[in-house]
Amino acid sequence: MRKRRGPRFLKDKIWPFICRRWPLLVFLAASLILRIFIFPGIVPRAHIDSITYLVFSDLNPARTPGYPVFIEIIQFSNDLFSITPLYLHAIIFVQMFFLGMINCYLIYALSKILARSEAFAVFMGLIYNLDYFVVGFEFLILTETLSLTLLGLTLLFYQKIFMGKKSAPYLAGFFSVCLVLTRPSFAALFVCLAGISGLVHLRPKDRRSQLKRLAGPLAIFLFINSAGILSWSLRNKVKHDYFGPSTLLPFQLGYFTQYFYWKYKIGSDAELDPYAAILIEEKGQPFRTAWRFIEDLKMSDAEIARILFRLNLRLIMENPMDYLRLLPRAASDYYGFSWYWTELYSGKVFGRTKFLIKPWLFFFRVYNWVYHHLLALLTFVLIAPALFILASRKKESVFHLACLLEGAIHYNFLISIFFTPGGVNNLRYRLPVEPYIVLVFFAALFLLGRALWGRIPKLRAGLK
Amino acid sequence: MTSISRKIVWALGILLFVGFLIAGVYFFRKESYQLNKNVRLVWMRVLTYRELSLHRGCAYRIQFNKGEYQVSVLHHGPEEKWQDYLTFPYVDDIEVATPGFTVVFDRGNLVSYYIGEKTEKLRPSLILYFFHHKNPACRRGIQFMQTGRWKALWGNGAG
Repeated sequence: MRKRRGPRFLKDKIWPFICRRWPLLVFLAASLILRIFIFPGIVPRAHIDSITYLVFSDLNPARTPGYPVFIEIIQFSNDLFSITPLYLHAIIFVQMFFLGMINCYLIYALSKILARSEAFAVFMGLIYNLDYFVVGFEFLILTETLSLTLLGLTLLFYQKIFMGKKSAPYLAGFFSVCLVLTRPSFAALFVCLAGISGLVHLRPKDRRSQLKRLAGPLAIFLFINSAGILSWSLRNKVKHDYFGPSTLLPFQLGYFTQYFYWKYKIGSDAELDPYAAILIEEKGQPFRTAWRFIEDLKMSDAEIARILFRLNLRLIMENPMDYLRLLPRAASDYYGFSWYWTELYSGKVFGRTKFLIKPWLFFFRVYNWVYHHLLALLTFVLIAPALFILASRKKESVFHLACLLEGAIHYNFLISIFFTPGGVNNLRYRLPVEPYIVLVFFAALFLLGRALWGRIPKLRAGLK
Repeated sequence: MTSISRKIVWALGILLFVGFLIAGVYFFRKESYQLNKNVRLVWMRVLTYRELSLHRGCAYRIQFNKGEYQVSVLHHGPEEKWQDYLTFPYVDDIEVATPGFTVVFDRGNLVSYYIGEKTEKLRPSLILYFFHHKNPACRRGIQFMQTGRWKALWGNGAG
């Protein structure tokens, strides 16, 4: 007689899976329940940046299509199935229950590779949920949460290239392109990742064999990235007559030059002078200047970007010290800590989830203390990660992942401070790497704790 | 069948299933989808110009005419006048039920909404309806309220 498939499948596949992965399942269930409690208290609000990508057909060339496509998919489904007329709530819902859960899993997976411990991975996943600075961004219609997901997926699959997984270069390349098209500031990350891997894996003793093994997958990864960035740049060239993934850079530089715009010498360049006059009239504010270019000179977005870029670059080249003087403040604001971005929502969220206030406030105080004390901050972002990298240099996969995480963290830091001159935006730009900063620090502590724990019996024996 | 080809077949199968599901739902709910889409676009653009009025420190007016809606910006010159800025057509056979509906935003605030001639005093609320030419009975609306908020209405609430 033929046996029934259902119970056997349950017995052979599902039950062993549950037994094997129960810590992960319990952790994901806890994360889900937490979000179910939080969601009804959320009052979504649009930021000024949000309005440039809420309608995909009106996409401004300053914006890349990653996040707008994500929003468009949600809105298409909502329109098709008539789910809710609360459009912003629908976006927040998907961010919390889809991206939020993926982020939880990513932190868990990367922690597990880094520390080779299930308990540590679950602990790090819980820490992620209790850091309101990070989780609070899931309630905002900004690109940060999606960037965090895509960065995690890129790192996870990129790391798998070196484990010999055949589909990894394609998936890593795909997610890396999605990341660049969500946040163009990550445009050079793929080169950094490849460079770090080159340093880690191509050691002199086995360079030839490693090169032979990795050349193909790395070439695929680099090719997908280059093709993705180039294709969107070409699209901008065809549609807006501007070659590049985004027209945002001139505006970002404008935030620097608004501190020394008056130093432009009228009469030094006949072509730029009329535009510089408007820039000076508008006190160097890039968006007001652009608005005047549209109103008075009827200029297109591409023309505005080109002119602003030339103006700002000229100002920076002629006054490099004024530019450099702004970098320390940018770095200080980047490594600041506050709930500025999420405080609008805190009242309602906290009112509903009283049981969460204590752990959230506890971690707020801890991080607030760390980020406001230089020595603690240096230990947090530099010394502990450096020690961890040194200690794990013999475990190739751990060493490689730690180097990749640190590469992404410091790449994001440098890009943020060189293109944003301080203020709350610098703090916001840290968000996509914040969980990884915390992860490497705690991994270092975990490694130290495990080493000490291993030494205790020897110490005891020595004492006897 | 190798492991990788099995995975590809599964992925393709799921994609095909989702594709067919979406195509099927679209076929049966096309008018409803188009109506929802247009109302959503209007709602989002209203939000866009509210935000822009705040950040550019100026006043925007959106006039819902027959076949299209027009965005104007208040120009401060020797005399104040509304300058046409952008025009958005309704797409997919959608039409506004109350042509002449106008909304005005100034520095981030909803300052006025009216039909036809301008009235200074805001009514507690007004609903701007849209319908599909093929099914005029099916309507969706956006309610503008004295509180300065506006919300989309679906289902029975939209009438």
